[in-house]
Amino acid sequence: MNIEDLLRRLTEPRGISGNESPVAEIAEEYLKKYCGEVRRDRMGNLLGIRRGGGKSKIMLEAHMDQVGLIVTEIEESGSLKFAAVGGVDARILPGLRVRVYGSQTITGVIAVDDEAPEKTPEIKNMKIYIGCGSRDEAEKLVRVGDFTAFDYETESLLCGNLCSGALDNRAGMAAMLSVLEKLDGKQLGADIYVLFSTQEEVGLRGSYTGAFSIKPDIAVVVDVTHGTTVDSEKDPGVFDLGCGPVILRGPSVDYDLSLELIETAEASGIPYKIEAAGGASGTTAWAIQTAGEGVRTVLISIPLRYMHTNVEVVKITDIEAVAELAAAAVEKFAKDGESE
Amino acid sequence: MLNINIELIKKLSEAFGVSGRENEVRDILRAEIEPFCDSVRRDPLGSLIAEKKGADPILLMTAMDEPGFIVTNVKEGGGAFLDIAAVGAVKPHSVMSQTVVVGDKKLPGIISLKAVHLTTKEEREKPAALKDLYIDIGADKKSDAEENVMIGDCAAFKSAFAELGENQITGKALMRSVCCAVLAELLKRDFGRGVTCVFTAQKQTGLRGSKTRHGLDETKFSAAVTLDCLEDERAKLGEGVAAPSVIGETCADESAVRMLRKSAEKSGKLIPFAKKNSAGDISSVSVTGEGIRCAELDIPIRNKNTASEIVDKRDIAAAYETLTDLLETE
Repeated sequence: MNIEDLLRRLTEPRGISGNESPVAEIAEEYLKKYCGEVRRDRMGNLLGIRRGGGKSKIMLEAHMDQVGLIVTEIEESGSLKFAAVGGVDARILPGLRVRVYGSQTITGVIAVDDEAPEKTPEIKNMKIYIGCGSRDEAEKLVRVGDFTAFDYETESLLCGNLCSGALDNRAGMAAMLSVLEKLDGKQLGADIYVLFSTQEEVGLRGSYTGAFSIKPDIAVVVDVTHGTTVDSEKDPGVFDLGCGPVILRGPSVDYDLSLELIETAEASGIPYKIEAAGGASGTTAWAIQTAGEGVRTVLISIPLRYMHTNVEVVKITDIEAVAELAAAAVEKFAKDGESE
Repeated sequence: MLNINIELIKKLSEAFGVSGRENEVRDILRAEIEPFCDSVRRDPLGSLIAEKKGADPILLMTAMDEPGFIVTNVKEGGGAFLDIAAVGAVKPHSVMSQTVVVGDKKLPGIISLKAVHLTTKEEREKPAALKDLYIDIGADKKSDAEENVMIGDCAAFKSAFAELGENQITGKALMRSVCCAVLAELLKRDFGRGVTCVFTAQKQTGLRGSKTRHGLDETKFSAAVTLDCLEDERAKLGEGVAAPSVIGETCADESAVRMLRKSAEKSGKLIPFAKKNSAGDISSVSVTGEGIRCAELDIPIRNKNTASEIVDKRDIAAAYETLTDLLETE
């Protein structure tokens, strides 16, 4: 599986939290290759099941939603007021091109009135121009509540780095699909459940119900973490692109399982880094741990620069290494599950 | 059908034309107009001069450069990144997270700062300054960057030209693109008189392209018109063109202004407008040599000097029709 090609396909559909179905449709095509059962649940989660020996249930989880905007008002002038869906950096918005998902997909441009603002303009003082001269004209195309996404294209940078929007967390989804490919044809004692969850960016929401209905014995979560840039070099919790999988330790994951994950990386000769979080990891691992009767969970992260922008950057080899580690971990956990 | 060449505008908008490196734009314009002109040449600064011989010549002028960035340094830290400075009038608060192309190789990159999650409240509330922003080209090491980029290479916004609703268009460098396209289309017609068009280099860096003589004898022109864009809430998109009496510090020639307004009024496309705040090429043209009777025509614009400038197609057509009327009747 070529990770770059896969990411180009997965990043093209926009799946703002609350309407992830464009992403689910593409992901479903890939899941069907490896999973006997594929379905969606009431929260919009996409679920693929690959039956094995039935000795245990291992869940592979990555969220499929992305941050974006939502139209809140159509102005007399024909321009649109909007709010953020998830954590959006207001500094990137002035001058940004967007796609408004109205009765058709409309190109828009975000503008601020102030020529040289002294403070970062607030979202409430910005508007989206869509080329309409009046409210009547705009209302034919857009309704309040229409989702709006950044208008990015996927671009290859130097040194095997890739730039696109929504790599948080299509990179994680790509890693999971690659895990399925690696495990394809292998006899496993465990049943593998792949959960691509919704609404992570607005409170980890899809993963609660997804994990509840699956009731896995073990969950392996893949998400992104902060990649180092020259201005964040000294910050804690940032990881150089190319460092390989980042394994979380702390209360947001199972203590022993995370150590087993580290041992697996070492046994497989996969370079890795450890991230420590004193509390919430900011990922679905935090939610899945407490779903249903509780789930033993591990988290593997992919370093990513400029999180929640239209120009996120990842290194392809990191995603490949994460997939390699996750596949090795699944095999190990499945084997352990047989003897228990 | 509106009198505009949208294909040419798109081609010009997506070309690289940062001040001092206007060659792509110049080449596109030259290829477009050469079959219709008696002579097309460039001057030492890089401006393009096109002449159609004939009696009673009129001089038309517009700029062909765009704002952008210049690479000033390569720095390392979790990868290698490019420090940048502005070339022309970029707006620092609207460049973060924009995609760019760097140098003649057009290496893709992005203008960035660390993720918002890693910032302090103070950092977030302050609009980004160019000295803090950098370009990420994906280089892992300084040597990876240096193999592909030289200090002094320029970077331009990389944003696709797009239609915005029924009447408007958006893209980078739309200002020069629509103005140059209007003059190029005029050169394709025969007005039974002389027409000279100067497409100037380096307007962004201080109206420099209009300061040279362009090898022209200014005394033979009965009048000159500079074509530019205007960002002002009183000049609404879709309502036509303006001919201000004062442009920055420069008073336009009153008779030339009246002549332009008369032409614009004929199609009901005149926006009443007295004083434009920003300066234009007219400040030099009007005092070239013995001086030329000169006025400026303006097309309304929004989000000027950003990666997504917005112009209304009807206003571009109004500029074309106004200048056509002027060349036919004055």
